[in-house]
Amino acid sequence: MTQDLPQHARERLADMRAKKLFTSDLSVSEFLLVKEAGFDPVGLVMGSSIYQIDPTVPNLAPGQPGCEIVDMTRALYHARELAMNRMEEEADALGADGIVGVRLTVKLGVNPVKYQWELYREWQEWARRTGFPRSSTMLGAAWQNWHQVAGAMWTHYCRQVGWYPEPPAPWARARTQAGSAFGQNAAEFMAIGCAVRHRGGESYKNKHGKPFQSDLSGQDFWMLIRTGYRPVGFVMGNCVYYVPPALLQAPAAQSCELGSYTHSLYDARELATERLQDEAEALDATGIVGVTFAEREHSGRFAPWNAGNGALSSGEVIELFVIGTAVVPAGGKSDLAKPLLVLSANDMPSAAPAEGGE
Amino acid sequence: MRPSPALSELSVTEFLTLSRAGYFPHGLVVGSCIFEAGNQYDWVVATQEVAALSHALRSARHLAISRMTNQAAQLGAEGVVEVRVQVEHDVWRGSRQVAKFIAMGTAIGFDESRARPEHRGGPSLHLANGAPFTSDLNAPDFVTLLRAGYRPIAVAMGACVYGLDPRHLRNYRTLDTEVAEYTQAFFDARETAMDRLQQDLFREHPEHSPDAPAGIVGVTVSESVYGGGQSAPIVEFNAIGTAVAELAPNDPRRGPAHARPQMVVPLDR
Repeated sequence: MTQDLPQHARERLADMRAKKLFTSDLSVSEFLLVKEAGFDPVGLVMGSSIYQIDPTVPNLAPGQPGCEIVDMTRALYHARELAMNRMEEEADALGADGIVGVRLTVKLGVNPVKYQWELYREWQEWARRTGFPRSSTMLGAAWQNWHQVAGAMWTHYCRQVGWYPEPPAPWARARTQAGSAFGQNAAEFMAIGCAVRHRGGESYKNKHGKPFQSDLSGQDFWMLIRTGYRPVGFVMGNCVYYVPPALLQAPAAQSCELGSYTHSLYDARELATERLQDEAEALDATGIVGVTFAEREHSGRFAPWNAGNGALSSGEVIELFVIGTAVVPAGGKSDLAKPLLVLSANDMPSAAPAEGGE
Repeated sequence: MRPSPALSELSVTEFLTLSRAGYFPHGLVVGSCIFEAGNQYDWVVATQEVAALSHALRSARHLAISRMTNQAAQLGAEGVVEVRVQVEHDVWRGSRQVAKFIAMGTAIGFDESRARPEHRGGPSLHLANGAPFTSDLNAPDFVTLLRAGYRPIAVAMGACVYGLDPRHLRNYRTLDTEVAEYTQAFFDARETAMDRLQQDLFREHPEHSPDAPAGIVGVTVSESVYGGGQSAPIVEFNAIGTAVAELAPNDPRRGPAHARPQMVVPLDR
C-alpha cells in the first residue's frame, strides 16, 4: 500500500479486509440495488486535499477581452485530482473494481471580514425579532465593534428572562461548515464514494488497471448496468475565466446584450467541456452520462472589502466546472422491465441540494 | 407487554409500513448526558488531535445512547429505530465548555398476534445479551433491510477532535499549492473517526460472536467547527452508521429471494 494515505486509513482498510466487514454510505435502497446489479459494496472510501489558491488576476491593457487564468484553472483541477487519486488508492487497497456514488465537494475558505459581517447581520436579525429598537443595532461605520454591543445586549436579555448561567448567544454557536477554519484563500476539496467489487470476479477495472469511478447514484448505476453499459471513469473539466470590469458595463444606458461578457462565459464553458471530452476520449469511452455544470464565482476573494458588487470595480473571476461519468457498451442486452405507473402516497420531500456540493 | 397508548414520532406512512411488517411502536425513548470538556485555555494551539475531547465526546455519546436503550428495554421493546444524537455546546461562566447530548428514537417491538401469518415465528431481534438493538435508519429503511435479509445491531459511532494551528498558512501566501499540514490533519481526523467506529463496534460485538456485524450501512462523517476568526479553530469529526448482521436463510421476515426491483414512474406533481 502506498505511503500517501494516513496511518489510520491504512489501519482501517486492513481491518476491513481481515474481518470481511463492509462499510457503505449508500442508503438502504441504493445498497440493495447495487447488490442486485451483481456488485458487493466493500467500503466507504475518501480522499481530500486542502489547497491554497493564489488570488492574483492578470493585469490587462484597457480594451482587452477577458482571458483564462491558467494557473488557477490548473490549481483547482490539481486539488480535485489529488483528492480523487487518494480515494482511488483507498479503493485499490480494498481490492475494489470500482467506486459508485462519487461526490466531489468543495468548502471554500471564508474571508474573516465577510464572516464577521454575516454574524453581525445574524445578531441584528435576532435583536429585531426580540424587540430591541432598531436604532440600537445600527452601528454604522463602527460595525466591527459589534461584539461588545451584542454581548451587553445578550447579557441584559438573559438577566431579564432569568437565564443563569448565561447560554451562548445564537451568533456564538458552532458552525457546521469548516470554511471558517482555514484562511480566506484556502479551500478543501473532498471526494467520497462507495467502493464495490463484482461478485462474479469479473474485472471492471478501466484501461489503466484502476477501479472505475462514477458519480451515479445506486439507482442510476443499477439502471446503467441493466441497460448494457458499464462506467469506465469519472471525468471532469474546468476553466477559470477573468472578465475585466469594463466588459461588465453596458456601452449605452439602454437594454442590450453584454456581448463580450457573454462571449467570455461561452468561451469558458466550451473550454471546460472540451477538457471533459478529452478525458473521456483518453479512457476510450463512447459516451458521457450525467453531465452537470457548476459555476462558481471567486470575485469576492480578490476584493473582499467590496464583496457585494466588487466585480464592477475589480472584474469577475468565474470557474466553470463540468463533471460526468464516461461509459462504454458492455455488449449485453438491455433487460429493463416495462415501467409501472404508480401514484405515491408518501409526502414527497423536496430535493434539497447537498451542502457545499458541486 | 406493549405500553398502550404508545408515544411515537412516526408519520402515518412510516407507522403503516412498520405495522404491515408486524412491528408496532412501544414509545418514544430519550437518553441524555451533560459533559464538561474543560476550559478552552487548557488547550495548546497546535495541529494535532485533542485526545481528551475525542474521548469525552465518545463517552458522552455512548452514555446517552445506553440510557436511551435502557429505557427501551424497560418498555419491553426489541429495538430502537430512527436514533439520532443532538449535541448542544454551551460556554458557561469562566469559559467552561459544556456539551449536552440527547439521544432520541422510537422503540419498537414485534407483535405476534397482529402480524401477518407469513411473518410469524422468526427469532426476536434482541441482541444476544438481551439488550434491544439500535439503528439510525428510519422505519421504511428498517423494513427494507429486514426483507433483504439483514437485521440492525447497533448504532456505530466514532469521534475525533482536531486542533488547527493557523500559523501554518503563513508559509503559503501567494502560492498555488496544497496546504500539506491541513490536508494531513483533516484526512487523518476523518479516517481516525471511521477507524474508531470500527474498533468500538468490534470491542462490543467481537468477531464470531452471535451479533458479529457483517457491515455498516449509511455511514456519514459530519464535522463541526468551533472557534475560527480570532482564535485557533478546533474541528470535530463524527462518523455514524448502523451495523447490520445477516438473518438466518430461512427467516420468515426475508423477502422472496429473487424479487427483482420494478421500474415505477411516480405520477405525483
